[in-house]
Amino acid sequence: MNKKTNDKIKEIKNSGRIGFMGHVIAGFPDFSSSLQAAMGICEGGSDFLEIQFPFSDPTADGPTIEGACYKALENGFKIKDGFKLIEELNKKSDTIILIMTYANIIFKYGIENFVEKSVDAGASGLIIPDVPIERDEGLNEIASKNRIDNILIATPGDSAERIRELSKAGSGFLYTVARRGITGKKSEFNKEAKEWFELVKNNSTLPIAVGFGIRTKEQIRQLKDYCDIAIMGSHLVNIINDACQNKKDIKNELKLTVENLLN
Amino acid sequence: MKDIRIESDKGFFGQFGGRYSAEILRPVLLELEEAFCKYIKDKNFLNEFNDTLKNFVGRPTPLLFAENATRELGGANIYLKLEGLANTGAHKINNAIGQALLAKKMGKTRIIAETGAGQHGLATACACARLGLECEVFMGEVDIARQRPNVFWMELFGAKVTPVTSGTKTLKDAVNAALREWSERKMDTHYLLGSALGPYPFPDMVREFQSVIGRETREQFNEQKGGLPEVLIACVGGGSNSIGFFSEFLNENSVRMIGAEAGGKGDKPGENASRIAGPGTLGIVQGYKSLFLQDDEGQLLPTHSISAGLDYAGIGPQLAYLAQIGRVEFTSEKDSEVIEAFKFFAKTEGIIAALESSHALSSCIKIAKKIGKGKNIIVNISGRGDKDIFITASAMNDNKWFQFLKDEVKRHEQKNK
Repeated sequence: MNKKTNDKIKEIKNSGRIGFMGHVIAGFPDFSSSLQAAMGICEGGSDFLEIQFPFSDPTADGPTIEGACYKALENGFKIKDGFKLIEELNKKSDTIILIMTYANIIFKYGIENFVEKSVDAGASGLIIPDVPIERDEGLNEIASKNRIDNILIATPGDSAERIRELSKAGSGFLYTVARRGITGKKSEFNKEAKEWFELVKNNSTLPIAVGFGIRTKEQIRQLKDYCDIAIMGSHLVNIINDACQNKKDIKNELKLTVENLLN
Repeated sequence: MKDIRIESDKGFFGQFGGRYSAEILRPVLLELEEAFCKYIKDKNFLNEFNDTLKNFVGRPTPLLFAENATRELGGANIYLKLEGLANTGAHKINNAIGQALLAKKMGKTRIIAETGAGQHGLATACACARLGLECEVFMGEVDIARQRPNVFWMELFGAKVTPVTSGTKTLKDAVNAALREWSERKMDTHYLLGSALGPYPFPDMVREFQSVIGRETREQFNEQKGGLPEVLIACVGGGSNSIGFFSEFLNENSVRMIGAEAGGKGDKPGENASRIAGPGTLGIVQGYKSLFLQDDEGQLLPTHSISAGLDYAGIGPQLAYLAQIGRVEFTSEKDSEVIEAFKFFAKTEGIIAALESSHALSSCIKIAKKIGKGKNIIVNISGRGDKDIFITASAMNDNKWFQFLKDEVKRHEQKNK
């Protein structure tokens, strides 16, 4: 496990709280706004920040994040901007940065090259939903060699055995989703979701992060019984979008949002 | 030449193919793989499939000797496999029936599908109406705008047609939307993918259900002329008609195979959809590894073709492999050449080919003269062109047609006053 991530999770466990991970899309709606948003999330007290590098065909994302990815690409997002964003953040914040993107982005770039650039920029982990462990194009080995976490995703429908397999193959933590399906719709936990969280908790050898559909402080509080880190994705993207549309101070808006969620 | 393996090797054709899906789709893809492997060898299932193809789809479709076109061009003998005469007007129905039957065996009650030109959506909606399944079709907004007649028919069959407004608003975005819907709701739903691409087992499954085209062609040609043809030509979008047409002949070394890609308006990025004949490069998108039209950063590029059905940035993994080993050649046919070929075969043979299939006809016109008399070419007319009337009338600048449309709208408005 990446040392920064390891230390952070230890600290979270020791203090008996639940960790928080925010999400921004690099270059959405443009480079400087996304940097402002990311800085706000970090200053608000986020333990982790997932930075998504936009892809033209993000099949594992819901319409909110998909739309934001298109906007970022329309505005000229390039991979080097994503790395630059991480470098800038690392100068000012000690929030742990993870990169989320799709197989084709790292494959076309060259996986080894992408991993090295990620480490140089200061990222601690990678989340690539469409690289399966059965055929990972060397990602796991390259990531491990470069001491960056290859964070795997477990989803409802996975068996106990599959959860054990994923937590053994991955590193950092196991990223799980709360609902069947994709990001961004509906939100309270039902019986099915709770059973799923229990299954993950009982079988994962890694710390657990839960995401997809989280919007409120209450939900984060509820999650504490099941996992180590709560992930907030599309809700933050909506707030960023709203802040930009209404010409608010993006950094401050995001900072306040995260502070309110965590205090 | 070593025998070419028809089925994938655990999902791979050489380096192409695979199952690069998000974890959320893994269970349902494994379930599908298991069911497909079981039923494709099951006598009762195959009997039901073949009966439906015969009595509902109208198979076998004819193989026509295009005598007049052959004479006019003065080259090789031209034969046309008329897939357009199948129910709903294209080869798409073969796979739609196969997968819909399989979905029923799996206990699914609902089908979702993507569509580009609308032919696959139409075939799926038709199969669902016949087999009593609920149906939702995802279709890019741009494609809905240019293929309204197919939307009308899909809705008549009781399908819900959901416009896809994201990205390029064409086929690839419809695939994304369908994959997303499948992730959300997979217990009762089967995703009926229409092309020989996507995560394993789709490329194998679609080829198997389409391989009836090649089997019939071989038998019909042998009966009419004897032996094997020298050349086979098919248009290639994702590749379902071509792989279904070619697979029967892959291990006949004397048979040359040509895939006609969309040359569009020109060679610049965004003006065509030529992956193999054009600058497609290796990528992993929508669950499979193949050649894609993409930029240096791995973002898919917009594509263009006069035919919605060929307007797609990727190509089926088996065809990418067959191109790599030199078994299938690829050409690129320009929109303007396609229209000329379309007109030529309408006039000489009374065949209205779909604009997709007219790409294969355009390639045929060039090759027939080149390879000369006595040789035999079979072109797969994957669909008929009635659905394209709004596009072809516009491309041919038929003002009388557009005056008719205006009058028709007026008549409709007066009637409703």
